[in-house]
Amino acid sequence: MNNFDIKKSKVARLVKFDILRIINILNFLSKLFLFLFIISILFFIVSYIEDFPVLLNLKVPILFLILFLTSFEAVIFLKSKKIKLQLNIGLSDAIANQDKYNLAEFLDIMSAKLVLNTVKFCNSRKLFQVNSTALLYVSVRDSKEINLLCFRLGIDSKKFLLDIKNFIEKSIKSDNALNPFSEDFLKVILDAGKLSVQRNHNVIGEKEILVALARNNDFFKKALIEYDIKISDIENLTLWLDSIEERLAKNKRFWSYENLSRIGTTGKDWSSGYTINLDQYSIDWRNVVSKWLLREVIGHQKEIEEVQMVLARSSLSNALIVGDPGTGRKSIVESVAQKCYLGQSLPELNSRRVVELDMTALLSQIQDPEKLETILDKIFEEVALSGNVILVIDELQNYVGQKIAKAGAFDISGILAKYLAIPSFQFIGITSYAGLHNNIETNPSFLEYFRKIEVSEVTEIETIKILQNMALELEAKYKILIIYPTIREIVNLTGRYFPSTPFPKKAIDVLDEAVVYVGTLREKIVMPHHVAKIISDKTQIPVGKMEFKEKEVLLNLEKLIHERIVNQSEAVEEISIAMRRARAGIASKKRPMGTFLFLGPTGVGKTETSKALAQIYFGSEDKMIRIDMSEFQSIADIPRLIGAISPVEMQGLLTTPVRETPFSLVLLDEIEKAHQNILNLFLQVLDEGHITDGQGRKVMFTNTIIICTSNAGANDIFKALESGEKINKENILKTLFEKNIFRPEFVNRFDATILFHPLTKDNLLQIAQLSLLSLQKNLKEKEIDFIITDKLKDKIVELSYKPEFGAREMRRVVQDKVENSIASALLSDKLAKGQKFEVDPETFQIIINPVE
Amino acid sequence: MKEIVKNENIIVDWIMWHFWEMPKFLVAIWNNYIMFAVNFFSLPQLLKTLFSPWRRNAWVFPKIFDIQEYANVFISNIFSRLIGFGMRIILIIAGAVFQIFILLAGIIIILLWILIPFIIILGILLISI
Repeated sequence: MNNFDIKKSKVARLVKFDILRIINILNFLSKLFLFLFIISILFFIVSYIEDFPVLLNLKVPILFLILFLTSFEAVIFLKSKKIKLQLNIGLSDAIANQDKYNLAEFLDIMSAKLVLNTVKFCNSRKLFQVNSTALLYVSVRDSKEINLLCFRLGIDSKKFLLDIKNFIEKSIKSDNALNPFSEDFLKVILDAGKLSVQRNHNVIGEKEILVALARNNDFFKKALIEYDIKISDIENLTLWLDSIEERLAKNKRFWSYENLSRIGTTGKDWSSGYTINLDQYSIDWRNVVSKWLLREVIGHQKEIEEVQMVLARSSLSNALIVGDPGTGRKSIVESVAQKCYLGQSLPELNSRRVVELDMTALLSQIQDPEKLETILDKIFEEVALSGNVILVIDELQNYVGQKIAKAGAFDISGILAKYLAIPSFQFIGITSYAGLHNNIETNPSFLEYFRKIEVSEVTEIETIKILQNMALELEAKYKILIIYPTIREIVNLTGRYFPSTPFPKKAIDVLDEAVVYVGTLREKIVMPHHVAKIISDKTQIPVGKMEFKEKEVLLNLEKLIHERIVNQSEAVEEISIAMRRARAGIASKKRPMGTFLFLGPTGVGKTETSKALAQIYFGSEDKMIRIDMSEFQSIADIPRLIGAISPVEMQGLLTTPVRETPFSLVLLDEIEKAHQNILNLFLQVLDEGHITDGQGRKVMFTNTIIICTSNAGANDIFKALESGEKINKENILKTLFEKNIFRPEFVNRFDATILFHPLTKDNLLQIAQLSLLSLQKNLKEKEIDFIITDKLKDKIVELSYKPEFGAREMRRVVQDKVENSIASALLSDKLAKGQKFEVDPETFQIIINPVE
Repeated sequence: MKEIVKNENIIVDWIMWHFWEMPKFLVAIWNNYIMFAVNFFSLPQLLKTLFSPWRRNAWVFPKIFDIQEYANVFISNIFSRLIGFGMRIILIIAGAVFQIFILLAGIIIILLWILIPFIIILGILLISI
């Protein structure tokens, strides 16, 4: 692209001509002349009455009128014709044939000004080529729009300008080059052009230049990494600003049909019926949406279309919106109300009132069932007769299929069904999946009146847009600033830490809380760390520094586990390697954090290792969900594991705790004892990271570590040990497959199968030391000094060395022999505060204040 | 290198803009206002329901023959229809007046716009007399 020449472009001439200033001056003059014209006319009228020389006075208002009309016409002409140059070809064609066209012609007046100022800047600094860093400097310095973007991105413009300036001054000045513009500069312009084409613009604006700089300028890229801003953030922010500008411009055009429609229609209202009873217990969404100037409903376009199609049908025009709470089901109703109000819906629906019946208010005010039935009948009759009402009932499941009569519960399905069949009755019901299955589906004839519309979750990008629009309102309300990285952090963190609740509700709630939290701190900007704090408080997990902490944990995992586990270095190493592999960011994000199968005899540290991992990764042993799989030996046990709704509703022992605490370690003990079909359930969990529970809810396991333990193969391990052979994992697994204890597809799904070796005497000595140390610590709190002797340790090991029981036997010996005698000594006051003692290794008697 | 920006004489450009593009734009705005008035007053709908009961308030005739009740309902319905007729007629008249006003205002504004250059010339002539 060697044809870029700003000086030869017509837009540069306009910039040099300073057309924007001329327009501003003319604008001012036109207003001034209009004012003078009105004043002079008044004078003229007064002088006419007072009998002054008329003709002389008349000339003055005529002069002002001429001046007003001329300046007025000039302003409109320049604004509509000269700021936007008439181009012969489209930007996309020019980009396709860059060698034929001067791309500088496609810059809008503001970006042309930036490029010209960059040229000026480079000349003043004696830079022979105009480069993209200079363009970045001038853009941040001169452009109001780019400054606003920097402000919202949380970039300190003054400091940033200083950094760029330093960088430019440090960088080597290039030699006398052939082309006045550097390669990287031209690349930025070309990329900005391509982006403008993508965004359906016919000229290149400042925002596109900023995005292109973020994509192509190395200095800017590095700075963005420092500020923790991604290129996609700048893209999203510029798009959002575009849409805001567009909406503001639309609102300014008071003459447009859309803006005129906001006044409403009296004629149609006069031909519809009164709804006196309905008005008492309802929210008229038409009144609410009529006050919306800038708000728009984001996402759910397909669902909104579908609802309109259903409502416009000639009969059975009843829609049932089904979706999980928090997916934005109500925003669909709001959007339909807005479209009806603005006359942008289908002709059958335009100028209809969308009215939501406030069932809670109705039920709290009228308790007598008979009275309630009468008033509901009247309300529905009013809706059917009025001819312009679309009735909405939120949480319809609460008022349908109520088997037990209790306060606040009333079954309206009988009365409602009578009207649902009437063609003039238009109805929207909102319900959840659980409500649909539990209450509404139990009455199939009632369900037949509806067309079901399922609401899907909005995407992360749509959630960001929703939050950005919300942020504007919150900023105005609380007089604070919510920077873009905060919004991105909310979406990222809520997506990760609250996987079971849908967007956008969870993100909106966190944004609300963050704003209030910042208010309590008396700060003015909502920063990402405020969001991390809120999510940390909610999940009890140290968010924010999590990534940093996790790195540290992963690098030192062996050491951290070995603080609690004796021996098993092979196993610990394998776990650490597998965790590092799974968490380095290369593995699928959809799978659990780590999945392990621990094989080995009892008492060798399998559960202890799991506890250690829970402690290291999730901060507490309480974050371990432990399930004994020997309780699940038949298919009939599946509902206990994943929950069920019939014949009785029960919560799953596995799914409910994982839903409630998604960041936890799931320990499935004695997995080999579970039924084969139950093992099949875990295939999906291990592979896809989710399972659907008995209540039909998707339970995510993406933030869990799953560990299955098994004693299967212990005999083979002992056999190998006895014969002095090396324990081979492959052989043991082969035997397990042959005996049909595990199937290869099950074992293959784990990140690693870890073999735990039986403990040697040396290991037991270390374990004896560990358990006696913990006893010593407890006694220290009572100010009693327990002296651990080597002889005592040897004796304990001698008594407890049974490879088939592992360390468990030792724990028993310590309890029976040592702890019991200390306890009796304490109770009989033989042992008192401030005393030292040791335990005789032969008799296990207490020796107080022993001679050293 | 090919020409990208249309190279037109500013006078020709202004003439085209003033006498063609702007009147076209003003006609579009005029059309918006006319459509708004049609929608706001909904004259066709008002005419269609001219004799309908006011706000659809109608009483149902008794199922058993009761002359007094029958007359009562009949008179009430007649009244409802009369009120409906009266109110709608008022709105129809208001709507018609408003529509005429919009039509006239539109014509005047468009004409004035077209005449601006001539007004300026006339003004200059008047001052120079």
